[in-house]
Amino acid sequence: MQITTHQQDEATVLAVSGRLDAMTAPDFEQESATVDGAKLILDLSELEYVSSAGLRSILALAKRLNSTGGSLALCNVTGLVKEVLEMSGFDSFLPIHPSLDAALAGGG
Amino acid sequence: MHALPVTLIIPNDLSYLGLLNAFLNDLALRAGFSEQDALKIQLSAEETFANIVQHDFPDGVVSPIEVIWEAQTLGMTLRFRHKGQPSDPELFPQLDKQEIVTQLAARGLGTFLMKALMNEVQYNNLGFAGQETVLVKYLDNPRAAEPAAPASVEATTPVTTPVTYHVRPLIPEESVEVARLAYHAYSYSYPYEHIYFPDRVKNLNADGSLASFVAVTDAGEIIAHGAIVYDPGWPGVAELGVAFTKTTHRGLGCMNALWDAMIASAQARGDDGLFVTGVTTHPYSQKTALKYGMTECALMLSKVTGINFQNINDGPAQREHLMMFFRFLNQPPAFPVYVPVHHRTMIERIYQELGHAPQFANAPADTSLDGPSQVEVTTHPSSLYGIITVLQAGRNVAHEVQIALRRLCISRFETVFLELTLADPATATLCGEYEAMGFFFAGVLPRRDGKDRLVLQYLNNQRPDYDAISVASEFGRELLDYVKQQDKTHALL
Repeated sequence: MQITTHQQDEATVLAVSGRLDAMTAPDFEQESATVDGAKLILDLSELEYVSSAGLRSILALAKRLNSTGGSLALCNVTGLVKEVLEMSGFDSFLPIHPSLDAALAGGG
Repeated sequence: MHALPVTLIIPNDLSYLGLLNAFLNDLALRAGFSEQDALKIQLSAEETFANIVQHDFPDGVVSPIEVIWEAQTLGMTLRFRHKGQPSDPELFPQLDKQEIVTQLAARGLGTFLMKALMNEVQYNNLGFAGQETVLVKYLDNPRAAEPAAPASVEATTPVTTPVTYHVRPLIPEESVEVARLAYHAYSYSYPYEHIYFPDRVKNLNADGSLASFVAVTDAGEIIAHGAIVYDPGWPGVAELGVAFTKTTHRGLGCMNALWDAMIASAQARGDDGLFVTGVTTHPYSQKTALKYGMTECALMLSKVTGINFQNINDGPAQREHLMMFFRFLNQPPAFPVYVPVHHRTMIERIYQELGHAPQFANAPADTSLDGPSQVEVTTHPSSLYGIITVLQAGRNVAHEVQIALRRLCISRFETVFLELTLADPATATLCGEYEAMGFFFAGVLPRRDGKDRLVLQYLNNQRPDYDAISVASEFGRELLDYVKQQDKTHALL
């Protein structure tokens, strides 16, 4: 798994690629814990795999941002990752946008 | 395809996840799974592996986990075997999607994903051999497309002019026609689900699990199908079924010709006996079985989801009770059977009707069960029933059965069947204990080499309407009355 971070408009964008699983989720948590900002967008266009460990780390991030008045949104979710997010009900509390532009415009 | 199993042995250490994924990805792609399905297999395997590593071993204990890949005609079976502490799947937390939204907590997420992404997930206690989690995934073969609506009135009007046809084994290219025929006859309600997938029909016929026969008109139209189903777990006996006729060609006698061909084929193969499953919504399939010399051997209540018989029954489909019929093609030797004393008269009647006289033996006074038990659980999620099979009765066997029953009930399986080997004296001595759990008599299922099974059944909060069960013979009535009398819960209501 790789994470690259950049600022765009008012948001911090984390582009996550590869696999977010039981091995890499701790790295994701560590990396995302250092990100500040009221609005965080996860760009998952290059993420091919997410397991429950990965979903939990996303949930933990959402929880942290909620508690500090921030927001989390996802974008460019496809394939198995999209299927897993939907079947688990994550799409009912996390805004999932079709593109980064839509996520930047739509807020979280 | 039944390739040799491939086994990976890794320590109970999450850092081996990458190796496990590479192992599974390669095997999944070799077996013909799509890249997407290969990822689903890895995901379910990760959840299983992580659960075992995190919950089944005390900190610091290093132990091997065997991961066994079995490629099969329909897909794959993946087994995780280990000697961690016994766990109780019924205590696994269930995912509450509302809790995710309101509390951002996701207990039970891993188990939920495993079950959602696999066709079957089972947990087996192997006694001294440890614990086993089994994942089953079918290849994503396309289901046959629904046929277009009939273009004209003629297409649905019964054929009244003489039709000549002949019966022969299925040609692989005709599999899609068979799938469509099943759809014509039953919509998507036929319990043998594989019949709707042309590739599965083709592959199962190729590997000998299925022997399909078709009735074909002179114009080349397939108007009926029947098959002998061979289960590798039941050597020497097979089931005749998967039989349907195009609604427009019913009454022409082609099913009789199919039955003759199938029975002749089974005899030529040297099969010992044949089962037929008769539905009880109507008596027609039972009458056919009787006509071919079969007799009732078990009444299995609420075994499958309701079957929609086009043009035979109306109204919403209820769960279907199945009457099992059997006929010996080769008379077996008189193996000893240990029957529970209180069921002996009925079991004798069943064997008498089957034309077989086993050696009724008395269980020894001291049947101490010192060894380990081996209890196997198989589930049929599409029909919502499970089967607990006592392969070996050892100490605590009743407890093992009780646990398996509770798991199946909590997983909302409607009916649970308990199969007990009649060659084992423990069947006679422990039957009462199983009945105290709520199981009651279903019948006898003959097997090769004296391994006949006594079948008990448990209904998970169901009340069968015994008056609505159709039977087609006096003995069928006798068996139905006996089963009803044994259903103590029904008697209380």
